[in-house]
Amino acid sequence: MYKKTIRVISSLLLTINLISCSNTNIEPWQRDILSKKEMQFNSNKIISTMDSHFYYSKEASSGGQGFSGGGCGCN
Amino acid sequence: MSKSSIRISLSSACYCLLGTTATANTKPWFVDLGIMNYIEQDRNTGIELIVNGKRELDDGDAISLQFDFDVITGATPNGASASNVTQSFTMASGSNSYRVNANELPADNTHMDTRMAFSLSYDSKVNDNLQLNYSSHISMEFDYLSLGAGVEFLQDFNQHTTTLLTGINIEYNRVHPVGGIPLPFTSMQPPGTLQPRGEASTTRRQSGVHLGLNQIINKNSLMQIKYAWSNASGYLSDPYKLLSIIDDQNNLQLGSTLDYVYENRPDQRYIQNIYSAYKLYIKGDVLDLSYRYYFQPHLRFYHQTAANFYQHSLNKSIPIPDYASSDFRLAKFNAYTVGFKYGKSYQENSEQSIGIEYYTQIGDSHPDTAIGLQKEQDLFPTLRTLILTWNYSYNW
Repeated sequence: MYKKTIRVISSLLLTINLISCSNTNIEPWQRDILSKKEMQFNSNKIISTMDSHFYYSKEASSGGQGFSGGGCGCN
Repeated sequence: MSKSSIRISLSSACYCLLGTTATANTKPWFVDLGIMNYIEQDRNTGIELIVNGKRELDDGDAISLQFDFDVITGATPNGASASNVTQSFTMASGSNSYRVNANELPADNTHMDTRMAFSLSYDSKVNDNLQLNYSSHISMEFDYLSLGAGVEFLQDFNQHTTTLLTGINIEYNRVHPVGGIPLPFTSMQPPGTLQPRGEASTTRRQSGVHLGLNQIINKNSLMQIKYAWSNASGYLSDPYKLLSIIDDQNNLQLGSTLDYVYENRPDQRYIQNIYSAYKLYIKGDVLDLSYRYYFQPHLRFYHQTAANFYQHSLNKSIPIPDYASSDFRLAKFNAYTVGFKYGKSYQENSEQSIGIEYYTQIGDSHPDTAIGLQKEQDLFPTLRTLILTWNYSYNW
């Protein structure tokens, strides 16, 4: 269990490190597409809530969206 | 004693946009309405309704209140194995029974559950680069109560191209199942007789942390990666789930069901998962001044390992283990979601979207541990689900 946790965290940190090292130079006037609502993560809270609840009730892991138990007794 | 699962979810998106560029938002009120209907083949049907109201404040903060109501009805697997003969099961109330035909997945077709929840959240913009999101919820079912709260920090770096996010959450739940808490591994009794039940209610708690990163890759794409870890403790069994006791000694009926016992799960569970998402804008053209639309394909892949106490059934000759559950949701399986969302906005203050998705869950239908007659049965029937969503947003 702990070895697996260490492997997962190490992989995550490595990914974050690689991404952070990338030279992303996007000027503010180049962000018109990125600023669109549909280009935001979790842009639609209602759909995210429904998706999280659905997957929480069907699968053993809880969503991956930071919510702990999903608030239902379905799992 | 522990459960770990790895979740890898990939999503991609392409958009076809028509319309004008949005002007500065001077309308602080938002109302969102959403409905989800999912239909599982030969199992449950669920409908969920959500209404969310949000008010943006002058200092950039926002407060929102959300109401959820959902109903699930249909046939839910009760944990027993399929058999070559008709099976009869006592309902949770202990007063009635239901039957399952030979060679069919044992499922409680009298199942119906309703849930109502309220959640309150407050998003606080501390400065141009830091935001704090506070959230809380209360959720009620006739046999379950859940209270939870959490806080998330979002810190921007590199001229807002990188966002580091982290958060914690806690949850308290009270379980009070119909008929009371079954005693672990006791045999199901015929209806109308004394049922092996203990306390009327008990509790479970859960707390978690998560760490993630949003990264703009170029002017058309961005990605997100999140890692979450949580710890659940207390009563983690499903009070309505059974396990079949299988005859592994009598050669004349090897693999037949002898008895049904109530499951028992460890009182401590660790969960970890990784979530990854990627968004790509494909193409957009301004062709109309009054509305715009987008088309968003969605793909998701999920894999989980089995809980170390998962067993599809128990063999008669082997001593009962400390913990065992045959809940399919604890088995090893892959799940796939494919679908799309189509959205359309009107006059820059209202939008609606529809989504259609197909979800399938595939596990080991014929595990090596099946014996005798069990080899003829599907011990992990594929779950196939159609998911329909509709969402309407209005802003003024």
